[in-house]
Amino acid sequence: MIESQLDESKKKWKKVFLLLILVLLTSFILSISLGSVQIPFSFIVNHFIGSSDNEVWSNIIQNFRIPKTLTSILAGSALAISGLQMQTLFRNPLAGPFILGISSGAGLGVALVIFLGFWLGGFIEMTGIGRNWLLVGAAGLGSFIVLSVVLIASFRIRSGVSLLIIGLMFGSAVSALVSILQYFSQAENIQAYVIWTFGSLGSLSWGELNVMMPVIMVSLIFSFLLSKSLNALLLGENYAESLGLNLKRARMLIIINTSLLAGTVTAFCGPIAFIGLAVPHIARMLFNTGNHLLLTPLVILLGSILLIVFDIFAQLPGMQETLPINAVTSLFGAPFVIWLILRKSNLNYSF
Amino acid sequence: MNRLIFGIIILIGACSGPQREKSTVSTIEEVQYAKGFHFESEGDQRYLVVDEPWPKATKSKKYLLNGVPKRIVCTSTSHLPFFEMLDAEESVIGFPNLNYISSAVFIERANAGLLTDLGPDGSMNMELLLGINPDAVVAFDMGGESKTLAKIEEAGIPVYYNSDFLEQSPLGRAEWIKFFGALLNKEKKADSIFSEIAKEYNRLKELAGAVKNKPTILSGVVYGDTWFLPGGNNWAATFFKNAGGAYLWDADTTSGWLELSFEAVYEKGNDAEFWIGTSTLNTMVEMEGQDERYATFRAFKNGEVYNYNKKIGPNGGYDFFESGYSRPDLVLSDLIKTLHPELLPEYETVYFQNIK
Repeated sequence: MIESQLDESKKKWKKVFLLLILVLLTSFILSISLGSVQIPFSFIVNHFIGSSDNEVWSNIIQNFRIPKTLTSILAGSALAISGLQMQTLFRNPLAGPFILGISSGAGLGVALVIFLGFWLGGFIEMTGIGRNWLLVGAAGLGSFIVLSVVLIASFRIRSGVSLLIIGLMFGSAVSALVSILQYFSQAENIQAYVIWTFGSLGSLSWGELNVMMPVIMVSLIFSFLLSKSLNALLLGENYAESLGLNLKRARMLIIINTSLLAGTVTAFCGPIAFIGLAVPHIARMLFNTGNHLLLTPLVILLGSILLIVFDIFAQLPGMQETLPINAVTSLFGAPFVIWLILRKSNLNYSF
Repeated sequence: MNRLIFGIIILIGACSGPQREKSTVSTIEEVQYAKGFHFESEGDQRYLVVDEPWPKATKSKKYLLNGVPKRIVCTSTSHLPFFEMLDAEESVIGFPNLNYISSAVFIERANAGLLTDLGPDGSMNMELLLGINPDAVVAFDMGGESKTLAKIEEAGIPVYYNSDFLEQSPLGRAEWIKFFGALLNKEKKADSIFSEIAKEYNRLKELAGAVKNKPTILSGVVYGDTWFLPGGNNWAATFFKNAGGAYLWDADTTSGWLELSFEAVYEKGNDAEFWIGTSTLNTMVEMEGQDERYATFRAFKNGEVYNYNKKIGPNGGYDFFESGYSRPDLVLSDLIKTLHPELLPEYETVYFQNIK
């Protein structure tokens, strides 16, 4: 009897994953077809077959829409996984990828480059590094420094809550430094920084994607390997230890993995809000599971789909204007989550 | 707005100092291009009226012109050239954040200690301001400055609101020299400087207007996911048109800035002949470093990319944004030289240059 139930459940999950993959493919195609510039669908098909007669449109598809959609997939899945693992690690539904101060660290790096840019100007030109890479490097370095401090703290502290609070405090202190920098800066620089905080999916070139993609891919694969430790952590730290889990090691690996995911995305796309916090909840609510072996792929798929769809909204297809991605994720995402919670009347999963 | 201009200017004799120009009873030129201010007279009194002191203001501000302030604080670098043109540099005694200034004259005065930095922290420091005891503050209020300015007025220092940034036409903006002329009691000088500038501007406009071939122009750069470029009624767009160019977003009616997606700009602008105004990107290497997709534009491939970075102040400020507003004739000459070099063979550009 158990076997038949297992079979049934396997079938059910197969269906779910198949459906999600189909939705992902559809949104991928939609995202490539829709944008400020109206390109007929037949042209897009022709482009992929390799016979296109409009160089401008081909260029738009090849260099704007495909990189943007791939970025959405990578960023969406990375942030969602990062959020899922943080929520489980701290057994806190309000945790997200940036809870340990990753985005504040990245923000400080970017702020330093933007606000001190003029004095560094000559140096930057000498090194021949493009500005985009400089921002990516600064954001990555900023998150790395924050991560290292949190990791050192994690060796000394047993309690997850204490670590969480240390992360929060560290994040606030770093944000305060950014405020001071902003206060002393010229308007154009403040604008440049504010625009960075809006997040951006469309500014990545293939060169940047070629770096971002392998890092995220490796981390995502590693996330599957962490699923069992995460399942054990759901039972509570003491219980997990009694199951034979090396708590400190597991915690360290999870922090490194989530920070790598969130830090890389933040470095390339800026701090993208909402996805990391909300997608794990959406996945748990829609599919009624707390098992990370299932949640990990679910969250990857849902995160990618949602970010692609939000990006389509942000492009306001048919209009030349666009909205910042961060505004769209929260504006359309929050009502969705509220609706889900009201429909379920309460969250029936616990940490 | 109804502009009451009375032909007679009455000299307010009581305060005439030794350096003051003798204003004779004469007819005064009407404010021609600027839409944001005018003059009014009531009996012996003459007033300077700023119609829209801040964006969307409901009431105008009326200033009685009596006495010449000798200790002035001004808050925008774009006001400084007017003082220079009117030979009144010595009236300016304070400025918030001296690092923003590009003008050599004012930097020299600052180094000599004649100009007090009122906002080393980026905003106006009230205590420092009261400390230098100014008798007028010339300020702009784009919406965020009103609190500080209200406080200054409360302290008994008259605040002259300058809303030149609301002007849409290049000559309208430059005509605000008359605002400073009235304030400093150098109206005749201001009038004659402005009419020279307007004459030259209109001559150049006619010169370029006669050209048949109007090259297409693209402007701005992308920040994040958004390409910022001047709207069709923007100050910059007017220059492009008057310089004999065809700005690609000419049909647009916004006077502010457009925020478009990269692909929308790419579709329309990839074939533009000129790319003018690239913000803080000063070399083609920097541009490609920020976004390699810039290199697919025709203007980029042909090396026809120009920026207003020829004159940069010692602190990194673009002089274009400081003195460009007061010299529309020079800006227009630069653009004509860029688009139609054959029209001005001898001319050497001041602000714009071809970036490498």
